[in-house]
Amino acid sequence: MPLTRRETANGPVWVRAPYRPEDYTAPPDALHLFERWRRDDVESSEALLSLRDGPFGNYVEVGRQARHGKTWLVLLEASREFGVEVEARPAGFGEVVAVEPRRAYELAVARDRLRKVPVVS
Amino acid sequence: MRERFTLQVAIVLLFSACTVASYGAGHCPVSHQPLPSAAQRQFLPPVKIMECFMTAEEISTVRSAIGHDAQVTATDPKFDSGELNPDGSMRPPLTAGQFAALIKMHSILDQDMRSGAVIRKYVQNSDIGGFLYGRTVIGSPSAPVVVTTDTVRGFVGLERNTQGLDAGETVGALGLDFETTPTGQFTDATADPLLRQVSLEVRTHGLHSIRHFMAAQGASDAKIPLGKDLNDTVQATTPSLLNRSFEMNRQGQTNPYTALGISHNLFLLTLDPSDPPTATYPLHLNEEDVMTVPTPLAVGDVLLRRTTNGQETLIAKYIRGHNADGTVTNRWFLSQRLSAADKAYYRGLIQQAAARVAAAGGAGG
Repeated sequence: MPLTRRETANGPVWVRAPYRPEDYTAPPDALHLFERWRRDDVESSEALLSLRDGPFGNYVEVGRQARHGKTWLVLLEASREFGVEVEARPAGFGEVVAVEPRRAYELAVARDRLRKVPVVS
Repeated sequence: MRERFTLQVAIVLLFSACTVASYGAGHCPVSHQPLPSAAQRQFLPPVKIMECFMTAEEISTVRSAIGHDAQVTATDPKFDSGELNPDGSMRPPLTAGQFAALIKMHSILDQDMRSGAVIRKYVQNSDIGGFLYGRTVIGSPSAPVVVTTDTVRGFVGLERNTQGLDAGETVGALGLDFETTPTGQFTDATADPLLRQVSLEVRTHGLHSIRHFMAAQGASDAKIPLGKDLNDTVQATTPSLLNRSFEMNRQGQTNPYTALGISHNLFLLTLDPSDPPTATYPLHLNEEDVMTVPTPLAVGDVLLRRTTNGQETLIAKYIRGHNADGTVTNRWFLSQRLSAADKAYYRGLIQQAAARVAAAGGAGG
C-alpha cells in the first residue's frame, strides 16, 4: 500500500493507512513476471535483482530463508508493498509464491524506521 | 560541428515522400504538415513526430524536465540517492507542465513500439565476441555462469532514435555511459572537472548495435521505465499507456538514468576538432524502453558497426545454419564483405569468447 504524504507543522510525514489485506496482496502480473524469468540463459537470481537495466529494481530483499534444500529470497515491492518469495537459483528464478498479506504488511512496517521521512498511522 | 548533408537530404526526401504518400489522409494538428503514416514514423527522428502533435513550448518543456526528480513519492530508502544530483544537491520535483508534456510525448512516441518495429540494441564492444559466439560467461569469477546470447534485453530504443547519427552523436543521444571511470566502453571521463568524451574504445573499434525486428510479444514486453511520480500519473490518467510503462526509480546520484523515459544529456564533448573545446553533442529527444523479459533474436537481425565519421558497416547476420550433424540452428555469420583485417579482428573476439566459455566449464561449440 503506497504511503501518502502529509504536510505538518513539523515538516512532511508519510501516512500509513490502517491494514487491509487487499492493500498488501501480490498481483498476479507481478508473480507472472518472475515466472517468465525462470530460464537458464540469464544471471543468478541475486544478480537479476540488482540489474540496472532490468525490471526488478523496485524489489527490496528483506529476508532469506532455507527450506527443503532451497534458498528463498523474500522480496518486498518498494512502492506497492506486496511481497513475493522467489527460489534463488544460479541462473534465473525458481519457484515464485506470494507472501501472505499480513506478513507483507509487517515487513513494510519494519522498514519504516529506515525512511528519511517519519511514518505515522 | 560537421554538417551531415546525407542526413539532411534523407530527411528532405522523406518529408517529400510523406507529403506525396499521405496527401488527403489528414494533417498534423500542430504543424499542419501531412500526417506521417505508421511506416513513415519508424524512420522519422522522434522530435519530427513530436512537432506534428506538440507545440514548440511543449517540446521545450520536455527538454527542461531532465535533471528533475520523478520519484518524490518513492518512500523506500533504496531510492534516496536517486533524488540527488551528482554534486549532492536535491533535484527539483517535476512541474505540472513537465508531467503533462512528458506524458503527451510518450503517448505519441510509444505508438510506434509495435510488432514489426525496428529497434537498435547498442552493445559494449567487450560483449561482441560473446554475442557472435552464441554464448558468454556472466556472474562472479567464483560462480561463473555460461549463458546463451540469443536474446535482446535491457535498454532498447527504436532505430529512428539514432538514425543518421555517427558514433559520437549516438553515444550522446542515448546517454550511453555505464562508467564513471577514466576509460570505459562508451565514454572516457575526467573526474574534476567532469568532462566526458567518446571512449577510445569506440573511436578505435566503433560502436556496435544489434538491429532487431520486434515481434508482437517483444513489443509488448518493451516498456517505458519511469520514476514513481510519473508512472503513477501515467497509469491513472492515460488509458493509451496503460501497462506500457513500469515503475523504475533512479538509484545513485551519478546514474545517467533519468526516470523520465528519455535519455540523459551527458554533455559529451564533440570529436570535431573545428568545434570549440567545450562544445557538446546536442540532446536528441527520444523514448527509451526496457525489455521487461528478454526477447529472442530473429532470423534476419544484423550486427552493425558505426564509426565516428558516420559510416555504418554490416558485421554479421543472424541466420539459420546447418550443423555438421544435420540439425539446424540460428546463429551469427560474419559478413563476407568484411575486410581481411576486420575478419581477423572479429574472429579473434569470437575465439576469446570461446576460451572464456571453455574455462568456465562450457562445452565447445
